[in-house]
Amino acid sequence: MAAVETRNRLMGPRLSTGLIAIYGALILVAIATTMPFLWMVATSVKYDPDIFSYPPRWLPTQGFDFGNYVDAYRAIDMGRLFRNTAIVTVADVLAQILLGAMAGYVFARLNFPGKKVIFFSLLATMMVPFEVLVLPIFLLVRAFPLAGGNDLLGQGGTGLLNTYSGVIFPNLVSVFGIFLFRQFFVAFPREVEEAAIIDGCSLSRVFWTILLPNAKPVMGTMALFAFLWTWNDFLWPLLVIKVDSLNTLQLGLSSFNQETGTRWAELMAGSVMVTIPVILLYLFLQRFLNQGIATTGLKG
Amino acid sequence: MNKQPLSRRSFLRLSAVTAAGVALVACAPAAAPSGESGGEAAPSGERKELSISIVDYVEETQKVLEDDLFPSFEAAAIVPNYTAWDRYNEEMTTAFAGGVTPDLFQGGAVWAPQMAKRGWSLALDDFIAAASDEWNWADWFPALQDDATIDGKVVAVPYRFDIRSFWYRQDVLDEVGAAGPPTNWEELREFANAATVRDGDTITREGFHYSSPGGWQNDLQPYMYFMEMADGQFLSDDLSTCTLDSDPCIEAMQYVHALIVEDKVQPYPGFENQGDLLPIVAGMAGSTMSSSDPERVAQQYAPDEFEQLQVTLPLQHTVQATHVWVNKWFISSLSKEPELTWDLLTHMTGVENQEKYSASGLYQPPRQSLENAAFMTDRMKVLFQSTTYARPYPKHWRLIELFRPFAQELELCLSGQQSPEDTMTKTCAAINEILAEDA
Amino acid sequence: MSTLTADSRRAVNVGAAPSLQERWQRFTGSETFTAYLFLMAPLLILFAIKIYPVFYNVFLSFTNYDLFSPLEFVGLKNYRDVFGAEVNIKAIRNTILFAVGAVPIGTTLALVVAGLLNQPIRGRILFRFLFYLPVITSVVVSAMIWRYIYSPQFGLLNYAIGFFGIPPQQWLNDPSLAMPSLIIITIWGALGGHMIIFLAALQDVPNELREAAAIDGAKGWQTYLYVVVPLLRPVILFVVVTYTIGIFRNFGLIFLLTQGGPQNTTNTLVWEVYQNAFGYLRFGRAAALAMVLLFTILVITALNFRLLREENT
Repeated sequence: MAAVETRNRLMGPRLSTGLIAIYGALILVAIATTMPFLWMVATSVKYDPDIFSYPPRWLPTQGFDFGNYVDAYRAIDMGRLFRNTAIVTVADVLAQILLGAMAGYVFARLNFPGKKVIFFSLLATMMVPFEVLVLPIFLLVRAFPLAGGNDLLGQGGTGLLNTYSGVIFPNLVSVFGIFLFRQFFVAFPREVEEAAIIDGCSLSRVFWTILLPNAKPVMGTMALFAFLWTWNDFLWPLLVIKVDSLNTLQLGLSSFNQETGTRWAELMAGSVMVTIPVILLYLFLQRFLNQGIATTGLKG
Repeated sequence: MNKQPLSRRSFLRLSAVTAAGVALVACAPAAAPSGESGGEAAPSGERKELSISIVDYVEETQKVLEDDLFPSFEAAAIVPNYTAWDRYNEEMTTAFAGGVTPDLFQGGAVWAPQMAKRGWSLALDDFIAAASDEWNWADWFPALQDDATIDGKVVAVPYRFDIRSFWYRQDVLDEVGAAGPPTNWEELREFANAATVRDGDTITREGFHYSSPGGWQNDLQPYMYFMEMADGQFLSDDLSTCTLDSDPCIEAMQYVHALIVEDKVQPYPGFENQGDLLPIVAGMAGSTMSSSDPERVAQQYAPDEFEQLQVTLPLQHTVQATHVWVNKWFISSLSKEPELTWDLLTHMTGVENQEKYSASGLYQPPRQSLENAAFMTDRMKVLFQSTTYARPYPKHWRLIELFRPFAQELELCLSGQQSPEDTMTKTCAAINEILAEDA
Repeated sequence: MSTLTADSRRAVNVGAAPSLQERWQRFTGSETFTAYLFLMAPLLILFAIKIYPVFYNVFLSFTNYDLFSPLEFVGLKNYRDVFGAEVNIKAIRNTILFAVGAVPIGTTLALVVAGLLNQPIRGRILFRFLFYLPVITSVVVSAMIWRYIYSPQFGLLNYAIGFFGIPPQQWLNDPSLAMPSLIIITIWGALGGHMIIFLAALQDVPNELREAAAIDGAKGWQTYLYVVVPLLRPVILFVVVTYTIGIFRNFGLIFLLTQGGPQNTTNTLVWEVYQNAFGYLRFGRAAALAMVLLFTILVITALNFRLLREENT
């Protein structure tokens, strides 16, 4: 990449017909991917007559209605939803990174009986879609021992239902994350560690002091992925959360879709607000994203 | 817990779950959240809490509940959960599967048999017998009482009924030179054809708005009204067989088929709502079947259209009839405070509070004494009188599942791919198959 | 603990074989111990959320479980019901159609876009962001945006196709268009994610090859196609497999947009599982359907592996 860029800089952008075609194609794709998004933003500041005008207009004729944002925020109490979603997301992101790094390290570096079997069974579980097994997982979360009034055998209470922990639990570990970290550590040079081990450093110390601090690109990548999965999750919170006070943003948004009709302006304003944190996080972590994926085995 | 979702306690517990995984403290995450209650049971000594699920609400309703009805119930603090119909069935199912049901919850027209069969709703007869005269169960329409009674037991208390009748736009009636709104099927068909406006092949105004896009209910519901007017029945009286292949039911299907497939008085599926604006309020349809929604919506969002809306009693065909959905309060059989929940139920449905609730969304009140309440407009009174002609759903506990094959065949018929006769025969075959499983 | 210390002290005194303490230390310092210590939490959780549910699901699929009546074993009845009902066969077909419609086009598109982005161009970071935008948008938000875009009366799409003289369509309500409409959303939503994977992989391609591929014009594309793409085969395999599984598990779009309709044309296995379980409380049949879905995923994954592996050799 660097070589190409240097050459490019030295020679200046050669605007040959080929390059123009490339830019043209890229811009076309960019329009396709961003258009729905821009349409959402445009709709979020319109009054109803503009929303239901045909032909559709990008710019409102009735003036901008920024009040949609205030209405949306109030209608579903977004402050609370943001807090709920943030709690759940932060917990899962941290857990996925730490547990993923630990397991990734083990599979990349350590030898122990059963390693192959365990690793391949883990990979095989990636084929099992969460959506298909929601019922058993649901029953398990309900029968979580010693939680929500349950006894040791998971009877008598409601387990983790209607708690943050219940939402958090199934997303604590990601097999994909383990895989990502493993690939990263496999590619990581062994010399430093070996020197440390000869110096009498324990394996876990090696992990905490040498490998983990160097795994920032994968951590950044995983942080983004884990954030996306939990922040945007819909099905699981729908099943576990039965009280409004614990609702997440995605659940709140779907309630703009009422029997009597859809309140488009508020729905779109709410959607913009829900998406902004993810965009910010992407912009903050995007430099890791490429690096994180590149340094793992996904390159083949 | 519910008042402050982010109490320090719950935050600690949550960190503990994470920490268990992270620091390997306790061998298993299972051990981490120990010693904590699930947050549902109120600590002793504090004010009791009752949870309630609300699905029939608009913004105003929420205001009335939060500012008035909930605070004025002094015996307990109310923890509400507002939800939406399109996911409500699943939501309650999982709530029961998990044992985290609200104490009191709203339910739809076909819920009572299913709740009773599963043992999820509390039988209310003893409570009703002991209830004060002031609450007065006799004030409920007998038909609604009957709809909430399964195998001789009252399992719910109706709070709203959704009766629909025929709505017309006065400007469209004038435009086509009609002397008055149609009174029977023939006149409706004539009006619908005259009122349909086309631009080439494209329909720009529906003469009669039969269905909206999305969801099986949108075709199936309006069919039921025509079926009632033809004096047809969904299931046999003993609920053992499907009777949709009987002549009256086929006749109703033929009529709807004629309107939509032959006459094309609306595209199929029909126009969508403009946000809250129904096609008839938006001037995109000349007539439709609806509850009091058009009035509420016009009042709120399109006051200019308000005067154009007109509602009549059901049409006369074989009989004069219409269909009614009865929405009800259920007390969960898992409630730890059944008596207190009953108190809340009577609080919510007492004459005064019922009136406030009904007024907030212009819902038809189930109490006969509310016919002349202040919020009852002339149009609502017409609907109210339609109740005389109302027929509810058969009380089969698997009705939701029975609807599915019917909705599928109906779609085929109304999109012109299948004759009304075949539709009804195939529907009945499929429904009888499900019914046979139970026998 | 105290007895252990006493024991070890004695052991030291004797001065023969390694003391218990030493042995304990050696054990805790061993690779096996560290490995299992580190793996304990992840494995326990994964067992709970991935492995145990599969077995539990197998068990359920042989029962009449419905939350309220007494549990009974019904043998293969649920499986017979699944394969006996036309609607389920259609669901299997729809699921496969969904994947077949989206995966080849989506993967090719991602590969092409990654190839374009890998050229010496300016604004790569900006383009990457714009392409990635749909990926970070939640399914609820995307479903809502697209519902509005697909609206028959007010939709942007009908307006756009009007320029080409095509009459307005009932996108999500037309049996022949509903599935393609969902496929469009899926391709749109997944493009950026796969593009980034391909882009990362392209950076690992030897420089000389990439420079050759950077030459514009038809020759560059030929190089890309015949020289670079074959090197990416393992990555393509990865993308195709995860893409397919992603589609098989797609619940949100169907729940929020079509609920399986119109005329069951978007009724996929996941939706059928969900409906049977939480709509009709037929958990046994839902479990059987889930097993069918799992099995289909296995078969498709195996097929993908064979197909792409064979070409590779």
